[in-house]
Amino acid sequence: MSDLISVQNVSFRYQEEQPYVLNDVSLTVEKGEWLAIVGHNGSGKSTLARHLNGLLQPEKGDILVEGYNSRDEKSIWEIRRRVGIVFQNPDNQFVGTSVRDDVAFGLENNGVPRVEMIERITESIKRVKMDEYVDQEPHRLSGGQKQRVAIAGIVALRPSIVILDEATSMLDPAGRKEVLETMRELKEEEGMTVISITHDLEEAAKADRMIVMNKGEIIDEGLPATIFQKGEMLEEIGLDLPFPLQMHRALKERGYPLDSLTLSQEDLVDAIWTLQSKN
Amino acid sequence: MDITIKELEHLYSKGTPFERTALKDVDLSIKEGTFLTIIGHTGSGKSTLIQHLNGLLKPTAGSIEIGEFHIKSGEKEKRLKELRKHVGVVFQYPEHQLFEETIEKDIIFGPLNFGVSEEEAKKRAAELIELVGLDHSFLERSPFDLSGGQMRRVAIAGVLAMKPSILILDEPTAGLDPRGRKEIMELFYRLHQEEGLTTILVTHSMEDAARYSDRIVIMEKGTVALQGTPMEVFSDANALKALSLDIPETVQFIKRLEDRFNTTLPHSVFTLEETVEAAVSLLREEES
Repeated sequence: MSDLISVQNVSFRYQEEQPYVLNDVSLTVEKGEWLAIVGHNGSGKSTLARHLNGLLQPEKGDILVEGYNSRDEKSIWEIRRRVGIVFQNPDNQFVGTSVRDDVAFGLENNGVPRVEMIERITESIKRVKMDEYVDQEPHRLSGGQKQRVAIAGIVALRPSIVILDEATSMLDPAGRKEVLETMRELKEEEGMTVISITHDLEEAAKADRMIVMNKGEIIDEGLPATIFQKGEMLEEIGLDLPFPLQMHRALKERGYPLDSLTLSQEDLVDAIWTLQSKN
Repeated sequence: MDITIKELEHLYSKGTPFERTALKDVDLSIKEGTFLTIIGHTGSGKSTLIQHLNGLLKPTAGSIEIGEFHIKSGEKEKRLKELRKHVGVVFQYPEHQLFEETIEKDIIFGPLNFGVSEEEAKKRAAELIELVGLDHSFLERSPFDLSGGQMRRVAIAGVLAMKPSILILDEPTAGLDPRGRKEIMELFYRLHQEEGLTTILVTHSMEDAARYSDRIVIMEKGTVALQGTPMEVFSDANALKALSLDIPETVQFIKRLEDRFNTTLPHSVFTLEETVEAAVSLLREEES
């Protein structure tokens, strides 16, 4: 795997004389991975996301996307073509009056020839399973459907990276599932790289790699299974451990330590069964 | 004030080609002091239903009684303003409704409108700003310099400033991080108990529904599909599955333990602490 994005010692604040929102942040994103960046509201994770496609410029440090530096004005469009962001609010990112028009918007802006445009629109709408809705007005869609159209708009531009910036946090459970499944398929089948910015640790548990942010700094990085070992650290910064891990910890505190870390209910029940049989 | 809803129907764009049934045959009675949670998929009619409870929407058929107030299709209830004094609604993303120059002005806007004296309104603002977890220094600040979570607290204080006896919460924690969610829900629960409020919560969180409610109502396609105590509702796993709704994790887990250990455990278990207790009881049994 090779680095798609390299963030080098980036610091940023919205106004001078205010505290830094990002403080000496460095990280790399590898091709084809699902990277979860977790932290509470205000930890700097969305600010970081906005740096990754050049919406914001670092005050110090550099950001390279496939070799293009976001400080270089000529690179900005190269970067934006490669990095698409799905934002939090499904109602704030529609520009077209139909699903088809909305997906066309980005392609028109990028000067894609008409014949190819039509092809790409059809293909990307199909990709997110919204082909039955091509002529629908956006406001008639559910939140999950709107976010899938937003993904189609990005996919049509053939980016190498899709960032989900709390893209599921305003959706109901069914909508959340829809969006995550769509992204997972895109990753598996098209080799898309996914960066998911979230405070949902259950979503992060399914990532290939996790970065934990707090107060504008990266405080941990690694495999979800390794990071979840440090349950207390995650709770201290205001995140909710998945239920099986909470149970695991509470049982340990009560004097019933279970062997291994359990991320699913089935495993937890097995572990309790094993412990009981030993007694 | 008790709430009684009878055969409520609401058609959007009635009599036009765009007519759409949002609610039909809704019968509900909510006793004063109840914490009621309404669950349902997007589009199931939850929000339409609660907009009837303070007269924002009028039934196209059926009736609603709230204490001495009667809202009936075809009839005008002249005391809607009076009703709205009693029924406070925290809408989705209430921070979008902040508009004043200072936080204090925003909080006292409602009470002043309802004829409360400025002195009294300011006194309430000072109390409420602390109650929602901010301090006095915030009162003179602009609401627009705050973080999203803080703005939401200010908006909630604005609703509470009207001293409603019925509090309606439409997904009050959507978009907040876990700590923010917990703090806001604990605040509402404390108010519910201390002030003896009737609370109606609309949520997608099965965990919150299990933890706080006296009663749960499940809406589907504009009507009530299931209702009862949390225990009654969550023990009907098949019905929930048919409605493609999740069961709270604690309830799922207790069920799995029961199956594996071939035993029965208490079914009124909804909090983590209680679930741990149940698991410990299984482990302890073996020791003795």
